[in-house]
Amino acid sequence: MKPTHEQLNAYLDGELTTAEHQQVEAYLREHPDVAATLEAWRADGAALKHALDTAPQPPNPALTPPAIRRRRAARQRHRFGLAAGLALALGLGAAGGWQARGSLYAAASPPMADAVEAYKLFAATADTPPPSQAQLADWFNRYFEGASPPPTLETYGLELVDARLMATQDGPAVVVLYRNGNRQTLLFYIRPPSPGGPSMPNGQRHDGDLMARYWSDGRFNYALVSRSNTPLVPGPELFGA
Amino acid sequence: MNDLEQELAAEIPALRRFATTLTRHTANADDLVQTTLEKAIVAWARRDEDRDIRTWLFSILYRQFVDNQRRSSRHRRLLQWFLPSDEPATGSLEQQYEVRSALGVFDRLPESQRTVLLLIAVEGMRYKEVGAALGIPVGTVMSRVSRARQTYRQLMEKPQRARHLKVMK
Repeated sequence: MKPTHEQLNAYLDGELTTAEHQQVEAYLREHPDVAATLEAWRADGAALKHALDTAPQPPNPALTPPAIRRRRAARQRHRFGLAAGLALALGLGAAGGWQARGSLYAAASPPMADAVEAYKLFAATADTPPPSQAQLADWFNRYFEGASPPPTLETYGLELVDARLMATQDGPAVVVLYRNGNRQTLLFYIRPPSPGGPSMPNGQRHDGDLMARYWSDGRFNYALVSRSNTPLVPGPELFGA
Repeated sequence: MNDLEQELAAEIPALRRFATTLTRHTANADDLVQTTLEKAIVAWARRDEDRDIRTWLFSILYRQFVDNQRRSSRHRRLLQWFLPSDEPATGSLEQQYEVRSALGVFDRLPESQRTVLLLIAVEGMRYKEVGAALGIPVGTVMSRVSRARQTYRQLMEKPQRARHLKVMK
């Protein structure tokens, strides 16, 4: 039986069953011309592999995983900065009492919208190493003097897995990410209040299946964001509210 | 570098070869690899751990390539309204190689044949893995690699036929 071209290729690539393989082998013994074609195909493949293996690949430092990770993180921070800036600019109208526009924007931008956005952004990924405790302490001393620092939540099975500094138009903000063994995420967000405006009222709101609990101590605004069905911690009191 | 990064770094030369085979353009190929690595880093936790990492990466790269092609053909259609002539061929590698050299011949295969030949004869992937990476049935992989080897051989023997073979696809 004469094997098809496909079968000959499959033979060459070791894709045949033992029985089929033996059949082709027997055929090739009797048909040296076909065996020669097969040998030419094999040699072509080997020559191509050699040529490609030895073809120089110009070094490209941008193509290393750490470089890619850094670029991604930078882009994400940038994107978040824009989103936060926008949310905040709109949110000011609502929280800051710009009467003329307040009612319009209040609907469009509920309180602490940027904290919810931050949750959506970071809950999915946390692939850059988190800052050390010392770094975190330094951020708080420098940018959030007098703010309640992120508590340890081991009692609730939550571990502090990441923290990032953000820029807002009112000054630096920080996002702290906690995660438990089931990869459920809790986000703690601190940012300065809008200057001149009344302090943000305490409250709670839902956005899709996310829930934000927020409060203010006058010096800073705080928010806790989690999934609505799994709050993970009882309430903002843990965070000094 | 962590484990993930080391595993990815080990695959970069093969990814660049694959991307160059697809795009035939070094800079475009590196862009494609970069996007692939970014997507892999994001999707790492969600990947099927039983799946061979190279097959997985190749499938990400190939999907991205197909998306780019689609997008650029849309662009080209739009641009045609504004530009008198077609874009120059994308800095093809063709001229760099001797017509009858391995790479010269390889470069003249249609994309679909070039791709399977690379994955099977050079990267040593199984038909099943190639099918998974390219999103095509194993039967198609078989017929493509068979055609690729025949075309390759013909081009080695009679390089003159190259032109119309390429057009025929």
